[in-house]
Amino acid sequence: LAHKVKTLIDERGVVQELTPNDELGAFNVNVPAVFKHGIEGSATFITQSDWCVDSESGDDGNVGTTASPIKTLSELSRRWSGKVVASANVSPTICLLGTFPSSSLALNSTITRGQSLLISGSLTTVTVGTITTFTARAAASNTSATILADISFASYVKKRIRLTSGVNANAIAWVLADLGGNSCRVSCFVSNTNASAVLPSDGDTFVIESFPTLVGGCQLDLGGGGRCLVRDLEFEAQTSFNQQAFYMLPTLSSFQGSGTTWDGTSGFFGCLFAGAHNTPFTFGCGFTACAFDPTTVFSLQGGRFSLAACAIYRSLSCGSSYVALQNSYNCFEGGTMTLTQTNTAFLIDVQVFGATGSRWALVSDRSDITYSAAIYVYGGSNTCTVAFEIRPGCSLQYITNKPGITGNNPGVNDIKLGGTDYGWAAIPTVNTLNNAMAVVRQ
Amino acid sequence: MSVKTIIDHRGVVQEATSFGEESTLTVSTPTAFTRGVNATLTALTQDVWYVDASTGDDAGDASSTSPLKTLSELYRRTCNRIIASTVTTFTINLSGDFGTELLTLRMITQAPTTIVRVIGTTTSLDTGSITTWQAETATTNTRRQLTDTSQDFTAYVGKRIRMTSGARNGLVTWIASLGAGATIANIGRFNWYQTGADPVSPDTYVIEDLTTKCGGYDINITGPTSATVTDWSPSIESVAFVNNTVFSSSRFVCTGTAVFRGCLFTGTTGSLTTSGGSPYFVSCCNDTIMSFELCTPTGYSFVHRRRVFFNRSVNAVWQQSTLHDGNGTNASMYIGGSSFVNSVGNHGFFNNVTDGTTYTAHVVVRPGGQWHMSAAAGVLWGNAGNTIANSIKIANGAGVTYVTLPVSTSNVAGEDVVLAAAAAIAWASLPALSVSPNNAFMNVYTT
Repeated sequence: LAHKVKTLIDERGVVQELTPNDELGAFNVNVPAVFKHGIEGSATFITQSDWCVDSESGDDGNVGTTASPIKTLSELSRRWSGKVVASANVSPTICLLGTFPSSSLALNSTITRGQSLLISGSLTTVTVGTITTFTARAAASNTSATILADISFASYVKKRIRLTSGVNANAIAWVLADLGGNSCRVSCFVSNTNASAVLPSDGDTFVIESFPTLVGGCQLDLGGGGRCLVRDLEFEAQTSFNQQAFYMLPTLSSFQGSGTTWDGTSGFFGCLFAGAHNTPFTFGCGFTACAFDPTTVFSLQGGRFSLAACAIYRSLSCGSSYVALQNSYNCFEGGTMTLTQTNTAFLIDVQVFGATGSRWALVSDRSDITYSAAIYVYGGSNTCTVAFEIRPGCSLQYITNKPGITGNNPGVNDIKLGGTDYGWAAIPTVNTLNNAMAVVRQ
Repeated sequence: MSVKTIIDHRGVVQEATSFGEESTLTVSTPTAFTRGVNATLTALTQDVWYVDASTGDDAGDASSTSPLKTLSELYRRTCNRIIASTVTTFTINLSGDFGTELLTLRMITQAPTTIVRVIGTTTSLDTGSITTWQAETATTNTRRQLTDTSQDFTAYVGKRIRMTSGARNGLVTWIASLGAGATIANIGRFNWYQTGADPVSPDTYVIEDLTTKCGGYDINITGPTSATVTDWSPSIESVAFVNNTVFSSSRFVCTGTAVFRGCLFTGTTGSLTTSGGSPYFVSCCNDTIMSFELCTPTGYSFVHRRRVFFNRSVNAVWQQSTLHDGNGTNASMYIGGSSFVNSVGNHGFFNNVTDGTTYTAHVVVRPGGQWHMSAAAGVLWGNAGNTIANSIKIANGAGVTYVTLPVSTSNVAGEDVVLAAAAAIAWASLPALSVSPNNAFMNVYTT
């Protein structure tokens, strides 16, 4: 017999010799114990560190690396599902190229403590410019940060802006509104590396960027204690999708209450959430320097969330959750923040511009809204009837500074407590009939 | 012979072509493998597993003579698999220190009679017998004390103690602090399954160290399980969870009555339990800052030696006797973020000291939180060693209800309750409501 098969390579990449068997001349395949337990048991470890999915040039028969990308997110899910990232695979990356508007980024895997997974997309430069004058926000005067540049921002509202020079190069922010005359309202610039708030300087150059890579949804369930950072992607959830879930153990704790600094290694960073998005995020995660421009409402339900330095262009609904808008500079343009179902929200330094309707923030159904620092909620250009509506049994609790935001009748219709309007001068007070209150946090 | 099939990198079985004109080899694909890669994973039929961080080998078969080495390999072999209905008790025996590795389990039980147990190892530090037993009487601030005139408990504060004789054989609790002398141990309530019991003289005991240490847990086991208290599943027993990072998170989401029994939660910085599930803790001890978030925990005979947080934990039920003994550190209970804690049993606070400006009371109830002592046995009590400023501090929009008036003491007699911004008042001044516009209250529970 001219036996052609002499060796095989097991799932660890180890070459195993095949040995002759008995007098029949057959072969036994000496399956290594690890391999045997693998096939009789569960899946193999994820040892590949470089992963790439390209909707255009990929092929699901490829190995899934940058040089040989797979094509679909479902194939990515299949290869990752139920698997453990090998301990030696400390920093795996998944690069998404092309676009996946009808597919969900779904991973159900385990990444252990000390390991970090990076999932990222690519960006396209729309235009470039140079900052003539940067004006920092000022809570006391209800003014936002603005940029005067050498270009018009009329076409770039809701686009991401990234500094390309100066000491804060690569810091990102969002164009909130075009103010005319080459000027725009801009959200807080955030460092690209550690997510700290930074200020651009006059003369800094920048690029306006868009997201060529769209993802139709997100379901990340990564147990084991590792970290995952998702950045530079646009999520455009479809109405037929189930809940958007992000459950990653350390992420929840990375945004503990107030005052905890994000270390730049977990959560969503610099992403855009647009489209239908009528399915809520659950479980919890952190969003840093992200933008929310849903068709109607972006919803956070039943979890712990942190929104830092985010631009919220539409309505935000938080239910049965623990939401921290910390060190945050948010902008609601024509939208409402709704807190319901025993939701607890912590606010620090929140800007509101362009709120319309009967109120900007509705606090209802045993919910509370609490300041975590003396820096308060402020803003302008709001035509809503009142700034806050606090329904019976709910509260607004502030530290030192009362809110600066007003409705369209400042001093008279600033806050509605259990059906009765008050000006800020009248608080702290409680509507004793129904226990709605605006008081100093004790 | 010819090669009939190969399995590609995606796990898909592919028909192979001939290797040539010469004789070739047929590789018969095991049925289980074929079904595993083409359909689903095979069921778990091995009912007893061993993982030993010191002597194990991940190439082993996880038997007692060939244990695995890492929790990652244990998880890889069990992840998303169904435990065969023929397995009545699925036991995982853990030995050694697994460092920062989390105990991660995701399995599915098929039969309601299947029990999943994870069992750690213990080391006996000392043994003895009870000379005198002092029962607990909350309303007179009399705490449980075990006296063994032949024992010196000094080195065993924070250790687990297990009864080894009598009707209480097998029940465990923790030594919280020393009493009046080295031969007297202040301890929690002995328990293991649910109801607990007090020992009698001359019952014997062993003082133990939990030698199985994990860096945390992430457990999600679904499927039908028994409602019988002795068959609660999964049951995590005698394991020390040591979190070395700031507020490491853990998940314990299971279909059945998932329970930690006699476990220790320790570490230098903190331990965060967060889940949408309903974990039970029986005779456990936290010697770290422990937090319950987004879950509905139930504690039986819990011994808290450091702070315990409830954030967005709805209907957290603390039953039987709960002991908070800081042994010179802060052992406050913090109820915040729309949490609702229902204390059916009592809470005794001892040796509790001020830690910063927030945790200046035995119980701190933050905006939106509520503490409900819904039974007459739900007494807030304890006196010795308490130098913390107050017994209860209640923020705006928060409240506390009680059936039995608390008796606990803090640093200054009579400075028992702080309602929002008001000055402290005595228990005798209850029920009370803070002055408008503040809205904190402590009132008698009525139905």
